[in-house]
Amino acid sequence: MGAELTVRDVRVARGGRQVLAVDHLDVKASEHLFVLGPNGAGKTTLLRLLSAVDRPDRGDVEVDGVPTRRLGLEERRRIGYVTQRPALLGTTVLRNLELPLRWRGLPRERRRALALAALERLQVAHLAQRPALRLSGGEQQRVNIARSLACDPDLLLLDEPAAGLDPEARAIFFTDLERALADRAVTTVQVTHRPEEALRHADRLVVLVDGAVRQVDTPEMISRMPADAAVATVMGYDNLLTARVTPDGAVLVGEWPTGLHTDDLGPGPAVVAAFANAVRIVPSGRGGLPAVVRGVSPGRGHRVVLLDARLPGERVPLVSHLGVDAPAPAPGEAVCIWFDDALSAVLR
Amino acid sequence: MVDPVYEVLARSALVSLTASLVAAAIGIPLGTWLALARIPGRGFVTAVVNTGMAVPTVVVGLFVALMLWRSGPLGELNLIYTVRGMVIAQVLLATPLITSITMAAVQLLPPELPGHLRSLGANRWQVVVRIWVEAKLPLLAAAMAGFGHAISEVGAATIVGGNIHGQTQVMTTAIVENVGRGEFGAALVYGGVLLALAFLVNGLLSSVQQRSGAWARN
Amino acid sequence: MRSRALLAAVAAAGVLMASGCSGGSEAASEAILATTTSTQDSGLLDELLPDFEEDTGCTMKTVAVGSGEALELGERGDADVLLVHSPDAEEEFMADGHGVSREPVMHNDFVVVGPEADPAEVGGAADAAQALTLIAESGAPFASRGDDSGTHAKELALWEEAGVEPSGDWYFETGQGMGETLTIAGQKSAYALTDRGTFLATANLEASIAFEGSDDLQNYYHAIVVDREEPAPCAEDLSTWLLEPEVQERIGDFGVEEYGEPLFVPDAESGEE
Repeated sequence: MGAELTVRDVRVARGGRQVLAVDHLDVKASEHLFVLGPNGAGKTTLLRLLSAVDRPDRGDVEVDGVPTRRLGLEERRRIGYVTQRPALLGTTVLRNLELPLRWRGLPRERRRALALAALERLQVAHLAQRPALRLSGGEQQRVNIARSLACDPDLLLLDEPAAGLDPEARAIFFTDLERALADRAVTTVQVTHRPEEALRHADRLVVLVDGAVRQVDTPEMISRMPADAAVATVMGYDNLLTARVTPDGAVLVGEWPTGLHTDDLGPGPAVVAAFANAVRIVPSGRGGLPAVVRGVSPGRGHRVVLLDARLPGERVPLVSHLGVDAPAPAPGEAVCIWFDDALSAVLR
Repeated sequence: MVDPVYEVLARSALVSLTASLVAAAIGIPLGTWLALARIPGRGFVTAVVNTGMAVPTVVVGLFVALMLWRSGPLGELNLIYTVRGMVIAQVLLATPLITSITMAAVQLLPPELPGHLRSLGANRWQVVVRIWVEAKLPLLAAAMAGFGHAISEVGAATIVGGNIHGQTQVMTTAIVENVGRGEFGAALVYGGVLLALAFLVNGLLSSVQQRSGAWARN
Repeated sequence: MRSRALLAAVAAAGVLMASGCSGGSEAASEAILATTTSTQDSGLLDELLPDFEEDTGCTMKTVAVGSGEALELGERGDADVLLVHSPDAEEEFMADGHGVSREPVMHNDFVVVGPEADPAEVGGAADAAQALTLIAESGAPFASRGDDSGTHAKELALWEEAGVEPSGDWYFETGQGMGETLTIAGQKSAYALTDRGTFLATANLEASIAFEGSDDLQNYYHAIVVDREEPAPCAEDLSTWLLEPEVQERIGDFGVEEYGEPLFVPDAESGEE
């Protein structure tokens, strides 16, 4: 059974500045939670609190109801913590895995079996006898995770485990990690700043910005309805525009219609968050937001069109992803813009 | 008369080896604590250690002699002008050096290592032991530097040991005595042996450093 | 060493010049000095004689032998002047009429120091040799300089006199100067032989004089002009010259620079033994 986590009224300050403030956060047993946020949001600080390595200045982090500051050695040993930089020890890969098992008093044969099984699970069993510090970054991180897995933790904390890997290696890495975790009841909390990975692998998502929890929800919900502009940015929304909601629910940007409509928000100022593929380009004179094409370049399976929206008194840069079968606009061309309802969010 | 060279060499080595082992037993834990502890008073102890490294050996010798003299607070122990008294003086000389090098060596390890070891399930003692294993080559270098410092100093050895032939005469005091008597040949023999020893220790040190360099993180 | 050799060379040149300029009148003014090895080995004669030769135009031929043999040379008429430290034999020598004059020149004064309690009970010894014998028999520690200095030589001579082989756990050598050796002896509750001057000059000693004043702790040096049928004027000149205040002062200063302590105490002014 995976461990349950409760974070309550936690405050952490560094050099007189508050870097983390979490009023309440629950992680359910065997849940895979992702913590998403920009650099410096306090993600690692939070993870270190969960790992019981650090203690909060105020408040409590509880693992299965026990505050981390009262956690005994045996209870701490149920927690695995994979740091962003793989801190392997200056010995062979196998001994790196066996050492924590030795600390736990496991007999020699059992240590070896568990270590090899964990290496196997992360596809690095062939590296067992190599000096750990001579491995590549990706190999080291796999060994690092295997080491935590070998101890069979009830709670596994991972801090940007795929940092430093190229995108393809990341994809393989996450697939391997998911497979390695598949058959065990372990609660995981992973920190990342990449929304696509969080969206793909998380049961639930926490968005942390400036040391505060901005939104906790399923990937689907957060992606569809980011709580505010900061969350929208973290979730990878490409375009953010200041807007206004009319009493009948129409969303206007610079008094131009956008094709968007909201019933939940009520009249007043708002923000339109739109993915690049939500920005639809129509010929000039067909209504919508007036814009000028700044440039067109090929993308992966689409065209990237850079636009300047002509709002009263300012030009706002926008990016649009256009299907390759649609006719490409020419640079300098005046166009009109509509937003796709399903790929945009209207926020306050 | 003056002891045969090998006897003096053996005594020098024994005294300084014992002293550096004792100093390592004090300095390595102390240096580790200074490098890792996050408590008030750490800065002060660090300053004391660094001052200790700069104190001239004759001053250490004088201090130890004042303690061990029959009229001194530890006079009852009858340690003045004995090999054990010399070991005490050399422990005081070598400990700050070993402490300081240990501190630097531990601080050169990844700063997250102790927390990381704890998160891997190590208890306090297992953390310390693993840190020492990770820093084993620099720590060996620290102990060797302590040995080199102890065996090559003359001030404390003279004041505390007294250069008594067959009892407390060591390489350095033998050199001083022979130079005083114009026996430059004999002084050179002792000097040569000491030089060879220094060469050996430094050779070991640099090979250790090269190995630790090759083993360093990439 | 080098400076002394240089001095001797300069002095020799001076002698040559003097003999070259003054013609033959004093050409024959030379004399044979028989003295003890200790004065020769200490370097005192090397220091003094060139100046004497320059002052007087005399040429001295020095024979360094034991005191007894020196007296014998005088008796045979093979020496013109003696500088020796063997009081009893000297007095006999004078009584037999072999000498014209006998003047005290200098002495060195040694004392045996040790712990206040004097565990070897050397205080009641008849002479230093007996004192050392008592120390050896009691097994009380004894600190020797062991550095081939004059004091070390004196100490070894006393051991020989006492008929004791100084070795064993109780006997140790410091290889250091008198002051350091005294400090070590004090801390180790050991006996030691020292000249009185250094003992007095060493501060914070945990030692006191255990035995002093016996003849075998003094080396009294007398200059004896030998009675010969053809007396050499230079013999008389040397005896007189050694007693001159400036020369006496130099004797008192001799060795301070090199050993940090005077080797001899001038005796001429005191006029007593």
